Amino acid sequence: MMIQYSIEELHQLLQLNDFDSKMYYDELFQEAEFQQKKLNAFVTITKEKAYKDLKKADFISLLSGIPYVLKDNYNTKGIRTTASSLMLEDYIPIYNAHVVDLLNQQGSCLIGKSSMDELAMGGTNQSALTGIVYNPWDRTRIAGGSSGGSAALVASGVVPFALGSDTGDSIRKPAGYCGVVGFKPTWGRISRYGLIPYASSLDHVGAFTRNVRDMAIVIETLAGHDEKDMTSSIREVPHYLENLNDNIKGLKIGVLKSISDEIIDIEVKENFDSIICKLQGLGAVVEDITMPSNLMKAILPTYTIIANAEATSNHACLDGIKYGNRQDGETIDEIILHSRTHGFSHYIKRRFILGNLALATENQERMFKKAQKVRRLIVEELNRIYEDYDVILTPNGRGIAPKVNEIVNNYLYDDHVILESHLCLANLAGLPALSLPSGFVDGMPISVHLMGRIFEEQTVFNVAYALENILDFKNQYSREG
Amino acid sequence: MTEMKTMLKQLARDTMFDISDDEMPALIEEYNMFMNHVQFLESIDTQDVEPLAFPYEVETTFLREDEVSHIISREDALKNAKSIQDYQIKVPKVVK
Repeated sequence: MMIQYSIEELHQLLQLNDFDSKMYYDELFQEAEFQQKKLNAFVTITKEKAYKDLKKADFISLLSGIPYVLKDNYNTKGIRTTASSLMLEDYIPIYNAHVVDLLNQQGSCLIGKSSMDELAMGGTNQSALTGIVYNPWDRTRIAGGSSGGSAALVASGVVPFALGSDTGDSIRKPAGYCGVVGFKPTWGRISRYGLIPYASSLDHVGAFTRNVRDMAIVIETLAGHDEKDMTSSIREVPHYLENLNDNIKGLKIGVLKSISDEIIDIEVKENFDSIICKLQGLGAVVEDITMPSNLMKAILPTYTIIANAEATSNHACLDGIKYGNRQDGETIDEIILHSRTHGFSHYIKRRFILGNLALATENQERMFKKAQKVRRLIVEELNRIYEDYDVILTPNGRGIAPKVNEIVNNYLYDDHVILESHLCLANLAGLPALSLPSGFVDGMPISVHLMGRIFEEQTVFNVAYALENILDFKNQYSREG
Repeated sequence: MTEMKTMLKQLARDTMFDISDDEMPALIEEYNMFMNHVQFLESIDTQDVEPLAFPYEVETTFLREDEVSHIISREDALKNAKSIQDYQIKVPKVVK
């Protein structure tokens, strides 16, 4: 099989006169259908559209003719977009998300829409309408969430890149579980127009690839101002690929001990320490840093309250009347009530209820505003660190992907909660953040997490690139699980 | 416990859906955890701290020119509504 190529490799092949791109896509869809039976990662396979797109592709730009997958919360004109929710099971958008238009302009070929936690709210993919997504490295384990389908399809080598969305860690956590590169840029760097929202002050467009160079290509293509998203930045987009540089001598990297000290698993700890040594070997200045423990413990509460509150408000529009899964009722209120009762799973209802609680007039100051104030304290503390350090390094989580039958509710307080939930620091502060495969434990991939200053995507890419070049996990994929 | 259940059912109703008795135990568990979160944040001194609504103070907020753009047709706008009549979304009578 030939379909596990990276973007750059495939681009070179597509430019050759004797390369049969049609045959390549035939094989790709065979594999996609085979993997679907194993992983349950697709909501929709868009075979017809992919062949149409392929006919139009001129293979000139790096992404022309390259197959990719979209998380099913990106609006795609004429293609069902469910956000893995019963509420939207028949929803067919009449417009494209901005990033979908950009990829169309490049000539990229959409091969399918991928499964996710319902409305992107979750970290396990267990709330998806089409069921759990399995990990390509071991099908008794989860791919993670909420962008689980996209992660699994890149990790099984079906596509060289896929888009996900990241509100708390929804790209970086499944990327870590599946052994691929996951990245979300600075908040505002990529337009979110047409991305079905979760929590607007935390939502990011981002991607999965199997190497850092490919990530630079994808992010450079998607980044930039869009007048349809008033939070999108007008800053110029650097040439991430051209400027990619694995010389990180003298770069200052802070190891956030408040997180890494929480590692319990010895092999994860050894792996993390080995990454620190490698960074030192590359000439980076690596030093320990800490954050006040009360702010560390506040990460999950702050995130939970803000995310639930914003989600409740954003999804008030899902009433079954203008679009969505309408149920009968004698009055408009009854239609809305019945549609929402029928259309949302119990996972999502719980979050909406708690979000509504935090937004109620009598609670808003005590809950929602309080969380926003603590958010400022957390962000200010991070910014203080960035006065002295270019990048913050942490483990990507406590360890390998959980078994399907051992899923733990993210909300449950336990000893590892800070380690497990800290990736949302990058969402609270809007920082560019990347998960990079760093090793294996029990045959399953693990990763480290790199966070840079806002709008310094390049620095994060460079550190990841330097590490990737001396590790053995570039372009890895698994079809064995 | 009954009081809490009643409160949560009402809160669900205010959020425009109902929850079943089967859904209640997990909701109570999550509600308690949520209130732990609230309580924990109360222990942090935020005197004179302004709420942060976005990750950083947005340097550029803008409104585009007030020109007609991105128009969708009436047909498109109604495409996903389940009940339409005469180019309008049909709902039950408000005044009986």
